[in-house]
Amino acid sequence: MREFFRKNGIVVIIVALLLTAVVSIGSALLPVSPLANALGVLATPFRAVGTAVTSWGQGVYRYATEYGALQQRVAELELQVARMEQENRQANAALRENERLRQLLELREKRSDFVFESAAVTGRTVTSWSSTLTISKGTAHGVSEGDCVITEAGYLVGVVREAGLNWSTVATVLDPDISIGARAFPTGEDGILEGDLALMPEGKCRLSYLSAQSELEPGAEVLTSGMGGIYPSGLAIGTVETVDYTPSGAERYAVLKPSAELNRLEEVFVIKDFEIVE
Amino acid sequence: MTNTDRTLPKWLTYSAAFFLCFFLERCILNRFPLWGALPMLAPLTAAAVGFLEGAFPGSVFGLAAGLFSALALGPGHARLIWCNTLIGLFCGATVNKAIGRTFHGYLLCAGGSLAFLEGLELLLRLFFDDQAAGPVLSMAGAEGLYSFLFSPLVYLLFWHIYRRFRSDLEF
Repeated sequence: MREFFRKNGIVVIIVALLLTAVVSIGSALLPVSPLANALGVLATPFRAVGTAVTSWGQGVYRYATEYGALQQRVAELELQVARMEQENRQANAALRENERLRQLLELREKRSDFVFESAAVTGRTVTSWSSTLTISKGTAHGVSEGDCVITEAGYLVGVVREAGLNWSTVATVLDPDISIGARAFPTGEDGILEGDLALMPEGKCRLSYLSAQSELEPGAEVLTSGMGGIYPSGLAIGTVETVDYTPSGAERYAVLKPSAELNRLEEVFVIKDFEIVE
Repeated sequence: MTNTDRTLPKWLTYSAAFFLCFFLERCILNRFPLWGALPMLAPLTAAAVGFLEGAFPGSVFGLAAGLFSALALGPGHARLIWCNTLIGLFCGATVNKAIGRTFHGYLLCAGGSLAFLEGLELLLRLFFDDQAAGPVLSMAGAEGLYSFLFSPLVYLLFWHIYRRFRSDLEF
């Protein structure tokens, strides 16, 4: 051992440490290293094959094991559709009244303009310490770091963390490093959506920094607040499951169940640009 | 075939085995979490090569595998370079000094390598990221155990390559 160290070991360790330093500095200076970008591009077809194979396997497994549950879900959804159709009729009436009142008060309509880019989900999390997705669009399609990613139903999936040429990595709402301004409805309380390592395996996240007097209750909807203008407002994040006090008792936090079914996503939409007109 | 003629194909085959493990880790196994954790196969490959080929080849292979992983996984994974180098180095060094080149010996090396990586992750998260001990400990434990389940498969793959080129030498 001593002989080995004297001859070669120290040199290999020094080279390893130097390379570690170079890669660390490179990562800090460049958003995506050229090699990582090239590997991402090269890996795209392999990821697609892996995704196709595993999706097919999962589909067969789900069909075999979840058929009964799916039938029940269809029945529940039919009821939900009927209820929503009724709510939609009421909402249409409210919309017309709202329009009429806006005209009376000469108020401008609040609207959101989003520029979307559709993308296929080609990969999943690569480490146990994060929750990420790899999507099939990158800088070549105008996707950039910090863009919000949503489902076709408008549910927030996450934020683009890294953008390569024809691929991007999206940190989902479960990722421990994510932090987004959020607002709960109907109470209107503001908080910060954060991923939590303890909740991540359960597919949940938390809404932190609620006041100790918070009146938030299970079932409340949580949307993006749009505070600071970095992310658009009004994107559905999830539903409150439980509300509790932090260990200090000075604040409360809520555990959220994300609206997007992150394990079953196949296609998402990247919000490349947005404008909120008040 | 001379010894030198066989060296290149052997290391190319080792590299192909590493890429296979890397592909499995990144594209297939990452869809099947166990206890909320995902397995790591790259350190097991460095341990296998160190174990079978010795300390110097193991450390160089670990360095190459670590460099590739660090660059492919992106920011925050640079420590994989020196971690995998050390894994290859120590597995190769201990196999000659402390344990024999047996399957049990490899399991010991793989377990030690994973314990080293998870211990390091634990320390970094507790002392530098200021994260709560409970979740970090359970995730590190789950990741280590889940990865360890794949150590026999990785060993068999690399042992097969090792044996094939070694038996070629004997002719």
